Amino acid sequence: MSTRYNQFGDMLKLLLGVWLGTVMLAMFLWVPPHEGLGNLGRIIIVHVPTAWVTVLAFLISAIYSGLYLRRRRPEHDDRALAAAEAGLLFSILATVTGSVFAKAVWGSFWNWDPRETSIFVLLLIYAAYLALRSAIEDDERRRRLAAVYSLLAFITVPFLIFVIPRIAESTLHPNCALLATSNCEGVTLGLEGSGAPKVSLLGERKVELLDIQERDGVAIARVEVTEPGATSRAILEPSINQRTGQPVEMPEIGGTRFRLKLERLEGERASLNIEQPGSSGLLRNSRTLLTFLASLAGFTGLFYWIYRVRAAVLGIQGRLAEEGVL
Amino acid sequence: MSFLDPAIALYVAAAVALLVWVVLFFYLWSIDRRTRELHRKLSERPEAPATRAAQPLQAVRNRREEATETSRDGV
Repeated sequence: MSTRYNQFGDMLKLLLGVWLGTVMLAMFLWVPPHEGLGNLGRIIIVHVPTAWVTVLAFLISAIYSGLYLRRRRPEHDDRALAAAEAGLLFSILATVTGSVFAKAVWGSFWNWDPRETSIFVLLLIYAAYLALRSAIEDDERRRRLAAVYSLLAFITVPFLIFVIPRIAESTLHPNCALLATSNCEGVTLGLEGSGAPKVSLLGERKVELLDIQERDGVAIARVEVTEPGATSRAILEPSINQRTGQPVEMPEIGGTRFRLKLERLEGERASLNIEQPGSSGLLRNSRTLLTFLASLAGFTGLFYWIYRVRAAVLGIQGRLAEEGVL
Repeated sequence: MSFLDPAIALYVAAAVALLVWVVLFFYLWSIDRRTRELHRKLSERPEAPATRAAQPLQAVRNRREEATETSRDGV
């Protein structure tokens, strides 16, 4: 029975190996580039599943901590610790992949944005869990206090991962928070006689409204954008569908991934803002969605495997310690 | 042709990601096998207990009371 169980487990592990290997290849060779983000959009296939596994791991840690407090079985404590360690590993992976994405898209690895700050606090909370465990020598006391701490720590997880980044006004995927001197509100420019200024600053760039045209229900603003230091100038034509109010064209600014957006048009006044590429719409493509779901399943399986192996190692360590070998 | 050439960069990235995964997989596989083997050897010893002893709540309370009394006596 045990041999058959082990053979089945080995088959599942081999399947996981092939599965995640296929996901890695599909992520680069099968998933098409994202319209706005290009090849950078592929990072969602690793970034989001690792963040999901983090939440799952901390939940499992909390469950086994509760079970330990109820039944006082050392195995439950081993599992709580193994899950917390794996959760910490995956949260570091999620932070690193997110940071690489932020550097490539928004120009900086770290900005103390609400999303980044909340994951950093979460990392500190669970690092403190490990520090707490290493600071107490008495086995029973260490297990009991760590279990209580793990339960309390998990209370913060939904707030730090799901709530705080969403209630903050400017978060990791805003349109303007990372642009120097931007106030996120954009600017309203007008043609002569409209009462609004014709020239203003949008972030660090000078923008001047040259003209407003209308073609087939689409309003087009001709805007001259001057880069900081007047190093270069370009005439861009963002447009908006007058009936629906939806932007039609959002041209890229100065070869960056930032786009100039015509938000509103009232008479001869045009409200302009800078749009940053974010993660919205990344999963609209069916290949991306399929690979993403496969990655989600694969990383969940990988977490489970790491967690089981680590729990087994902790179990062996505990047994040897009880027998005085360690 | 540089490996950062856009035409081959994706293939290079895919190969690196796959290599990292293959190394990680075999590392995990070997730890898993060794752990299972060690667990089996520990369980097969005639004097080995079937499972690690759970600490009954009453025993824990008794120990705590003893510790409290000892500290009181010390004071």
